[in-house]
Parts: sequence; C-alpha cells; structure tokens
Amino acid sequence: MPSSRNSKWLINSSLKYAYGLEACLGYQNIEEVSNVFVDEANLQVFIVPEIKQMTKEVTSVEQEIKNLKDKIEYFLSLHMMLSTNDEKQLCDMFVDTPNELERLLVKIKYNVVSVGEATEIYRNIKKQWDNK
Amino acid sequence: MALTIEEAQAQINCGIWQGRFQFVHNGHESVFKSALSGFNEQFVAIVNPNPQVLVDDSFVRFDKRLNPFNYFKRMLLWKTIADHEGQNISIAPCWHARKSISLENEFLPYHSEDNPGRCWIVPIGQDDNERRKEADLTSLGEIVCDSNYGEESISCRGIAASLVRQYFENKQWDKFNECVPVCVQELTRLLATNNDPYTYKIVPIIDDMIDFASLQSAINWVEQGENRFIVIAISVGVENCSQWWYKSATRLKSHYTFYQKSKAIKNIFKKLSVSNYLITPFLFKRMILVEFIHIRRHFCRQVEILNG
Repeated sequence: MPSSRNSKWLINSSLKYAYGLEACLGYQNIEEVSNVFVDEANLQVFIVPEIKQMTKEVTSVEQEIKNLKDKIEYFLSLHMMLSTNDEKQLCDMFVDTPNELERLLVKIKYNVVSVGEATEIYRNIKKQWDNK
Repeated sequence: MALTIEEAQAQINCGIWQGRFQFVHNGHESVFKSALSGFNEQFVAIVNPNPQVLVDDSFVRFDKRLNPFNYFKRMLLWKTIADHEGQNISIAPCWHARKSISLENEFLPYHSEDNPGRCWIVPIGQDDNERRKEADLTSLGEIVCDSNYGEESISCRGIAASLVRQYFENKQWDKFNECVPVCVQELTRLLATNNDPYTYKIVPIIDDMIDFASLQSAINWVEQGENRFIVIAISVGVENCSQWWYKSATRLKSHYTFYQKSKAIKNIFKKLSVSNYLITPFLFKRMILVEFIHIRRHFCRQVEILNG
C-alpha cells in the first residue's frame, strides 16, 4: 500500500462499519464518500468476470446522448472531406465530441456519474452544438 | 524441457516475468520488452512481496538488506515502465514460486497440465541459478520458456541488481543511470529515499463488492489533477498473516479470485479511458470479532493491510 502520508481510503459512510475497515485503519486516512444510504440489494451487485452491470432501465438522457452522438457523427461524416471552410472549422470543433459522449454513456452505465450529473454535462454539449 | 519464447507465445496465452526487482534495471526491462510483450496477457510477478517479513532464512537473496523496495513501490515502477511502453500489464505478488505455488493461484490465470494457462519466462542461459529455477518450476507442473538471454545486448547482460544498489548507495549517478531504465530513474531515486511523488485514493473491494460511489469519487479526483493514482485494493483471505506466504487463500464470501476481479476492474477502467490506477491485494485475516458500533451488531472480520 502507498504510505499513509499521501493516500486516503475512500469508504462509503454507509459501508464503513460493515467490515471493521475503519477500526483496522485506526480511524485515520479515511475519506467518507457519501452520506447516501446504499441499500442492501445494491451491495450484492458486483463482479462477474465479464462485469455484471448494475441492472437499470435505459434512462431518457442516455437515449438523448445517443441521438446527439449519432447526429454529430453524421455531420462529421458528411463534411469532413468535402466542405467549406466554415464547415471544416465546425468539424474540427466537434471531432472529439462523439467520443466524449460515448465515454459519458459508459460512465452512466457503470454509475461513475449520476444521471443528474450526466444530464448537466449533456446539456452543456448540446448547447454548444445548437449554437454552432 | 523449456519452450522457446516463440513456441510459448504461440501456445500459451499468458506470460509471467518474475523477479525480486530490487532495483528494476535495464536487464529486467529488456526481457519485459523482448519476451513478455509478445504474450497476449502479460504478468509481472513480484517475488518476496513483503521483504520485512523474512520468508526463508536459507535463501540469502531474501535478506532484508538486499530488498529495500516493498511490493507497492515495485508495482509503481513496473506500472511506469509498462505505461511508457504502451503495454497494459498485470502485476501480481509471488512468494517463492520455486518452492511452492499455492497462494499465487489466486492472482494468476488458471493453469493445469490439461489446460496450460501460463508460462514463466526465465533467462535460462544466464547462470546455474536460472537453470535451477527452470527445473524447480517445471517440477511444480509449471511451463517455462527461455527468454533468449544470449540474444540480449551485452550492456543488459552485464547488469546485476546488487551493482545498481551499490551505485545508488555510493551516489554514482552516472553509472546508476546507465543501468536503470530512463523512465524510472528519477522515480527509483525518489522511492528509494521514501519520497513518493504521487498521491493516492484507495478504493476497497471486499468480497465481490465495490462501492460505486467511491469509485466515482476516485475517478473524478484522478481526472482533476496531476500525479494522482487510484489504488483498487482487493481483499484476499488468508489463514494466518504471520506465515501467509505458504498458506492457501480462502476467499471469504467471494466467488471470484483476485485475478478475475482485477480483470473485471481493468475492463471497467479501459472502457472509461482511465489509466492512472493500480490494483493491489490487501489481506483479510480470518478472525471474527463482534462489531458493537453498528446497530445490527453483526460479525465482521479483522483486516490486515499488506504493507509489503
């Protein structure tokens, strides 16, 4: 393990007692991550070799992200090769956006961002796209 | 009989490059680049992971004075070399594979005579010690391949870790730099003087569960700054921490091995394009105590942290 001087254990406050981790770490070096209660059903979810996803419905924001990604990809495929200077500039501006949106979808899939946070990120990108 | 490196790479999915790596030098890196990188799945196995606990006093090389780096520091050095080479390696602890392979099975791909899953790379031509290593591993039912020691450049063949340690202790930096891979020269110096330039957030995986809120927080943190690493600490059950190197791991409530869980974690990070992470074991001793603090007063386990 890294030295305790430059490391912190991230432990969800609703899990910290479950394994005596906090006591064993001497109540030091711990950063509580969230006060949100994690229900027992969710605790049971995790790993199989090919990653058992957390089961949840596809949210509307995921669908919207996919739609925007498709739209931008279509635009890029049309204008990347033959286009005016303005269109080329737009292509340069948005060339990384489909990948960014794809990463956002993956983050939602594995709960690395909440749907609320994802919506905010999506809205910012959408705004830039609408104002192009 | 050892396989050639070409035969091994064609027949076996996983290659293992094992050593104490005290210090990591150009000779180690050379085998990593020439032999290990040709396997689909690449393992660096760090022998004698906790040098502070003497494993076997008949084995001179495990003397504490010859083993300044703990497991974590050596893992960090190999991670740096692998990133520099654009390779996605796995790093695992290895106690004393020449004597016994038991706990190692928790960390490595499954292997049997009928279903060979891994191959140990040994520079057989180097000396008698390496030839004995080949014989020892083969007698344990493992597959060994020759790293083609004779093909390595003379400058790499002449390096011994003891020499590098000597250069470091005598502050002979020119000679030290000639022996140590460029990408880890500065890091080696820093770590050897207990100056770790990085900061870490450690996310525990206990049994088969990970707290996604912690993972989310760690990923956000690592993306927001430089010199940061996420450490995924996967619990491993052991019978007795004072002699744990020869005891088989018990998996507690876990259905999966450390190897399977670390593979799943690597997949998640790959999909999220996160590369600043390390995966390390921490040991759960089978000791039951009553947790009074929690309202449900349930049983829990004592944790011991693998410092080595």
